[in-house]
Amino acid sequence: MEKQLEALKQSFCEELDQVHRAEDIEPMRVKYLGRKGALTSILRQMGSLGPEERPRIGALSNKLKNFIEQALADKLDDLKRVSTAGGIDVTLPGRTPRRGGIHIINSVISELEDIFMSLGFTIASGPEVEDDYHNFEALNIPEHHPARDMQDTFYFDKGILLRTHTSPVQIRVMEKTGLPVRIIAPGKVYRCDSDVTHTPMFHQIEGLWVEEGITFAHLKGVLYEFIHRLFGTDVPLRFRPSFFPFTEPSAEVDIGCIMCKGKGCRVCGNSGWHEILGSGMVDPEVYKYVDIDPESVTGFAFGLGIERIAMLKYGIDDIRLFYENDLRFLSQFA
Amino acid sequence: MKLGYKWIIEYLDVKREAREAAEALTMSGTEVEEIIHETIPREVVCARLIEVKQHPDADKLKLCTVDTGSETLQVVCGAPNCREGMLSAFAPIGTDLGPGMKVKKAKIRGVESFGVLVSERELGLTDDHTGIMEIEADLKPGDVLVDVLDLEDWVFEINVTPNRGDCLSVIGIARELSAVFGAELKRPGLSLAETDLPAADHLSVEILDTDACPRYAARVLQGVQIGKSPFTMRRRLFQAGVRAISNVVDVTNYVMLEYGQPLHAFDSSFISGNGIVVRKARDGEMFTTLDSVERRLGPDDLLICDREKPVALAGVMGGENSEVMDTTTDIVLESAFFDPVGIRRTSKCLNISTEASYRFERGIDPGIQAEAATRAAYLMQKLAGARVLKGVVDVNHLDPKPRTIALRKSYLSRVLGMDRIDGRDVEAILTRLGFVLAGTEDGWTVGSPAFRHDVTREIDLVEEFIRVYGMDEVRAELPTFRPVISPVEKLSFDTLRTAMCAMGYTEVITYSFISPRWNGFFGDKALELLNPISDEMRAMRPSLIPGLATVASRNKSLQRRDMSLFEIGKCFLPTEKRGLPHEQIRLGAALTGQSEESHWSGRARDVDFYDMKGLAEALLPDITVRPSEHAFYKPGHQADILLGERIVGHLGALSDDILAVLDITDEVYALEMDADAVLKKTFRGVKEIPRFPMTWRDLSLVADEGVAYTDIVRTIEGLRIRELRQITAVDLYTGEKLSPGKKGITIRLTYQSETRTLEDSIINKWQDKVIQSLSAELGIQLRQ
Ligand SMILES: [Zn+2]
Repeated sequence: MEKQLEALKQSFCEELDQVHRAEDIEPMRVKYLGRKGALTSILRQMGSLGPEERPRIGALSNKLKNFIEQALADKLDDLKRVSTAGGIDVTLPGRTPRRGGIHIINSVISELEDIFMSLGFTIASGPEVEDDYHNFEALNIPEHHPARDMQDTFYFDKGILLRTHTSPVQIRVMEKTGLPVRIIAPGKVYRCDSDVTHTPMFHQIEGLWVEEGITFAHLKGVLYEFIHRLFGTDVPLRFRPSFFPFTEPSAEVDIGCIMCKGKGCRVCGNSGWHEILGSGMVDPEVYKYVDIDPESVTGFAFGLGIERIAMLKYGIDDIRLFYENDLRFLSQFA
Repeated sequence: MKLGYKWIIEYLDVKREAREAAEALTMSGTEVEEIIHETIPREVVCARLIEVKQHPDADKLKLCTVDTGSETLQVVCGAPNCREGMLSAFAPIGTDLGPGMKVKKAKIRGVESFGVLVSERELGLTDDHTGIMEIEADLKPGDVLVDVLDLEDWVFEINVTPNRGDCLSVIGIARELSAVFGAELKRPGLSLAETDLPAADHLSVEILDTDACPRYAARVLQGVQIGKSPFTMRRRLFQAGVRAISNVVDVTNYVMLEYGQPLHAFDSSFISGNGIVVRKARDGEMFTTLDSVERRLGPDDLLICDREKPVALAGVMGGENSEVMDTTTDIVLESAFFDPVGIRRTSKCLNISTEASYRFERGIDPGIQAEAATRAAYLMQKLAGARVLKGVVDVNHLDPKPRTIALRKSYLSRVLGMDRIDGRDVEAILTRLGFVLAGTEDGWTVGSPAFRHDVTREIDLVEEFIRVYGMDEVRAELPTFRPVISPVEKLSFDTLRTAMCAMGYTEVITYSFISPRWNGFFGDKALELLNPISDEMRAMRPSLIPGLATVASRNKSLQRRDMSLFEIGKCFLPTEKRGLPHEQIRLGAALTGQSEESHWSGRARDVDFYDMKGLAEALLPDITVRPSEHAFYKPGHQADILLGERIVGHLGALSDDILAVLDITDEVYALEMDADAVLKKTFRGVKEIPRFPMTWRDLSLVADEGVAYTDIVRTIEGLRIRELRQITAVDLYTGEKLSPGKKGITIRLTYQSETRTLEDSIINKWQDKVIQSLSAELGIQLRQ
């Protein structure tokens, strides 16, 4: 009987070598290990053995059974790995074209532009190196006014500076085009400030809508629409009265914290709110600088920080990451 | 500004939770940025020191027997003010006085102590740590201090906007709350006892510049006893972030916080001639302020002087020469109104900002100088035993005429877009804010109070109304509008970005300012900032290349070998004229490392000039290049990019100097193009697709090394064979099989006609013409 077992093992091995398809494995198992299989039929003869022989043959046949099972499993694995003998190894890595990516700040800007364009705004732009007149004076921020402390300005010489906000575009557009005005102006702005929450250069989008009949209710309508499209319709908003020299009444707009749903958490400094933009009705004083009769029109303006929006939307907690240009960071948005 | 909530509501007839009040302030435009809850553990009780003995083993320690109300305990104490009979604050064993400050049973120099007597600072009430807390109130041992002294409080950190100088005070904040909650505003106590001596007999005031100082009021006090202020006053100052100094100085600060009116107390023994003269400083005049700094003044700075010398820098800081000291007995108390712009200029020029200058700059109430002086005199009388001379010496050039503004109901709706505004709401809100209203046909005539110098126009009143009424009450409404078409510019930039990404380039955004050390490479002197964040960020970039090269270098140091980067942004080019520089939007790109990721098939290779050039050709198929000599590229490995005859950019391998500065060992290829040129790809209309077959012929040529590929192309094009559609280079060969100074180049000529199938004979004729012409013009031979 020992010899029979040896012979069975040999014929199994020879047969297995001829198997090239995964679906041929199962019939092999039935043939050798099944209830009517070769091994079983050998074991049926066990009864004829003497009691001293039985345990030894029992152990041998068990060992063979295990061997066959293992060999079948290994073969199946191999067949799955290389599908066709003589073909190529399809499992080797392919040649992936290099993937680029748009900087997260620019893709957020593009998203915001699309939203505002769908609300009737066109896109305007203005210089980043500005004069004092457009950046401050025409926006009703006279020299020696404490409102200038609100922004730390980079200066060149004699009244030339880096714009501290996108608001000068308001003035440049109203100087140039007639009414009505419905523009947004995205772009870089600069303030002399550098820490975890400030970079000396960042991005804003300015919005301006001046037309007969425009009201504070419209300002709210446009900003609600914008926030709901950007963050979802279940995000609460609040309009908090504030001060900007070129709008009156002025309001800062907060949105409910997305992380804690307004309950207060580390991200929102326990307030449940995030300040995301400044807004208001265009101050009549500003119209005087651009030769528009304040009695004839009304309008609203708003300005928002792109980095802040990107940080909230993507859960980024350090603004400096945007300008370190570490490809391990940038490629996450590709 | 920080203020304790209990102080604020002292002037307000209202019972509201601190959190509710803070929310109401925030939602009406006075943002409470933070509320700090202050309290002390309930275990801390009033205790009497029954007996005080010397510690047997320590000179500086005392053994106190303390009655805590419930038991008598032995406590070791090192405070110098510890004495028999006094009432102090006792913290028993187990009291948690803050992180790492849990009271434990202790053996101090061999003597057991069952608790501690604590200072005001240890309780977080003030910064006084000169001794254990002295309880002046009439308390019993065992009284729970937090209850009997009413110590629980909330400190509001308030962000007052620059237009609201009137809110830089307890009364100002209380007034806001009174408007929101509809509560009565109360005024501080002023019931003063004056002597018969008129103050005017002891002090004269002369203002030489009434623009800079339209009002100067003063009171004269005698016989003050300098000492420590009472606990509540010191705590309120501490909450406000003002250091307690002495009762007289503390009162001036306390009243400043109450009214928003900065006050200054002079020791009158240093005021010579019993006279105050307000005048502008002389150019270069020197003056030492009470922080012991000698300052050089100019003709714009305002000085308070006596008959001989300056004694204070008006509205900013007092002088060292007339400061109130422990020995002071007689006082001149100043309460003035200074021109905000002048104070701001002085404060900016001399770079000093004080609580006083901060308030003057933002404009204080021009109507309260006398009242604030009287309030301070009253407190000095109460707390320092001052005799107050009769009357206020008050020189007042301010125009007392109140401003009136017409407010139309129709204007309110026109700006706010609210259908129905109840006139009674408008009246109630404005009245509580201090305005005086009289009805008119279409609204009101509104008298503006003196302290609201920011309210001068109708629109200001609209804001006053809506900020208190509640912006959330305005219904949001979308205006009607016409849809707009995407501007071409947005579309092209979006398309350009997408195209760059598809070609494997990653966009970066670098700062617009770079180090001036790049100036050497980019020729023209860059526009430089006067006040950069650091010298490394001083120059406005004349090119995108420094930024891109720096990003490449940084990422190399982070073990990134292969990179394709791009940036679209403005470069700043100074113009001849004064004024704004020319801002040009450019596309920049950088390439380094290998063209592909390492791959098992082993086909990755290092990127080279032609990868970079390929990008330019992909973006603008019509460009040509011409060898260039820019300092930032390697000689012989660079070119200008031309569109027709116009240079629209350049490309090349970064120079060895730049690589050395940035510590890069691999080659970096860069490109920079005018974005306008890249975007203005014009569409020339649809061409008919040829119906007849193309024929290709390759020519293997041997040329002198000096012959450029473009020379070959131009020579062939010069033959004007209409059917010749395309010339491309398909192989380049240099090596041993050629004689020195020669190179082999294989070009492929593609022929196609629009009208017929070309026969071999005609193509052969053209090929011969090409070969002849190349040989004649450029000395090129066919390769054997
Ligand atoms: Zn939160």
